[in-house]
Amino acid sequence: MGNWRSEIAKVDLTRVRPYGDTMDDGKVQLSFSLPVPDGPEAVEAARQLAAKMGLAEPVVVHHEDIGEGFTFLILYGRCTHTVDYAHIQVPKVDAPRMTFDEINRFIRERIGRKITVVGACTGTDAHTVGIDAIMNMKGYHGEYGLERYPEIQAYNLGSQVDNEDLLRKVVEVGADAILVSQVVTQKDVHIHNLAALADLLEAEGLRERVVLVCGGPRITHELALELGYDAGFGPGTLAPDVASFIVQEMVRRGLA
Amino acid sequence: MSVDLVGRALMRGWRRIAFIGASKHAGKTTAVNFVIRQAQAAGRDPATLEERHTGAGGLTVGLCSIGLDGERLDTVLGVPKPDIVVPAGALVASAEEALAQSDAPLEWLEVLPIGSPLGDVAIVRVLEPGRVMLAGVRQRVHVRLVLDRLTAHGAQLCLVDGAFDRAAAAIPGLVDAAVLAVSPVLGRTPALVAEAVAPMVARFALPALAGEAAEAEAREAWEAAARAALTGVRDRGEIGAWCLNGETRGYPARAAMHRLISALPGWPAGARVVYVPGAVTDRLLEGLRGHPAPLYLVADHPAHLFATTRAVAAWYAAGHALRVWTPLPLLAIAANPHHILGWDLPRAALIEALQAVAGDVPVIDACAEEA
Repeated sequence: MGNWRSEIAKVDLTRVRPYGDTMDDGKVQLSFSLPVPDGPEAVEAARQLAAKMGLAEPVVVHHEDIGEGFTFLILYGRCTHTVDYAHIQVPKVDAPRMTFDEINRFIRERIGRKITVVGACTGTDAHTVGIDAIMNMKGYHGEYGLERYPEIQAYNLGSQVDNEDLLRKVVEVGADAILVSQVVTQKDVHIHNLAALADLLEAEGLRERVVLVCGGPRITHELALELGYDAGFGPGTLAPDVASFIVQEMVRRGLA
Repeated sequence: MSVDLVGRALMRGWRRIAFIGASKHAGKTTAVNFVIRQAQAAGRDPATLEERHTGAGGLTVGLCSIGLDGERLDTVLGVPKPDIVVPAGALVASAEEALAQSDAPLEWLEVLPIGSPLGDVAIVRVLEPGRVMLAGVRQRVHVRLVLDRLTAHGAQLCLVDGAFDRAAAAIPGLVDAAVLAVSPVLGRTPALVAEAVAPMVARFALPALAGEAAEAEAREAWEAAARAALTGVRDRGEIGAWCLNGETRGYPARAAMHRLISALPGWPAGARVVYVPGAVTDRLLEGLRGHPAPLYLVADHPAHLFATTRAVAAWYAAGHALRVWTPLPLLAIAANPHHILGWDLPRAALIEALQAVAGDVPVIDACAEEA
């Protein structure tokens, strides 16, 4: 029996492309809807669009009428481009992740008092799934939310919170950290909401007194930094990720 | 014909310039590069004022960003962004990890006590022309320190790049003037872009309470008395109300946060001027709109005006007025006819439409003009 491990094609990290069935085959799947009735013309339109997107060998593998003259399609294709993964550098949150117990101990030992965190989903955004996952006592994915942390006083203001109302709560409870969740991102409305809050905090002289964090499906750490936030968390973030950053940032900035 | 922005700034003694966007993707980086190029040329151009001071070699530019800039791809759309290209000799303040991603050779001058998730902010000198990434400066208080240190290291013209439509760094005392970057993100036609920009330009054109410049004729005779009376209130960081009879009251800065400002204890019904040290928001204006007498609401500076165009219009319609304590002049409006998604507005028409709302502020095409 040969050494099968040595026979598996090795990835060239300077020329990475999607993996489908075999190394470097470039296979991708994409789906979209077209505002045209289901049928051969819709399939051909989707195929041509995929080709214009730069995909080779585009093929429609599924299509269905979704009503009102619209068609949903799934396509396969082959990406001919590569990226140099080896030289990619992305700003990311650089705070060691601690456990529930470690975070509470860190607060007791390094900060010496309970910390206060105010969270909200701001603007017109009515989706609480993100802020609830981080803050609600029951937590998410096996991790308790911040409300369960004995050393954290957590206030979850819910959704559709105006920046001014959030600011008012921050002042009222003397918050150490602010968490802003933005789920709805159509027309980049989240950018405006987040930027406006940062400016509002500056205008009220509060910015340097709080750790300012945002999160959501289209939030990256890089975007958060650009907006003047201290950190940004994307999908898959759990309460300990956020809490670890907050408490370490507080100590680093002398906010303890 | 190129507008000599650097010359215009130097003539007025403006050495610290903030770049703010009228929207996201407004072309701030392009505008920054434009001024960098002009500053580089300044020392070699006998027509500019600085020639007499520096000789050949251009002005030493100091650069920082409140936020992050110089990244290769746009953080929202993922499309390529213009690089910040700096000449040899420029001074740059940025976080260590961001500097590590810059391709210009750098001389480390000083590490500042400004920590960031991308490492401490350092001041470096650019040894050979190249691209830099600016990051690590996230708060106004950081900008102040950074500008002082850039100046101490020899920067003759400091440029503070903003982030998206944030105006946090565009405040008097921190910078001397601002460049407002404008792009087709605001509208599909030159007229729509100009219409959207007009309120922002008006915000920067707001007269100072008892200002001495062109608005002197329109100034009320009592403005100087109001300003003198409210100076102490402002120095204490309080909200102030001044009446024509000279009565002046001060309230804690955040007293109006949890109730209408007009419901504060002892609020004078005869108030004629109200000074607000913090954010001037829709809610604040709405709370004062029913004031029985015409009111001057004085924001500390233009960047503290957060009220929407609609609320401001309603404010004026109620017979009130807006003033600022300290204005911040616009050095220029930098028009970028290119939309980040790939299409362009007609350049000449955009410039013309913007100039019509810009008053005496020059409008430049930062993409097309040769520095």
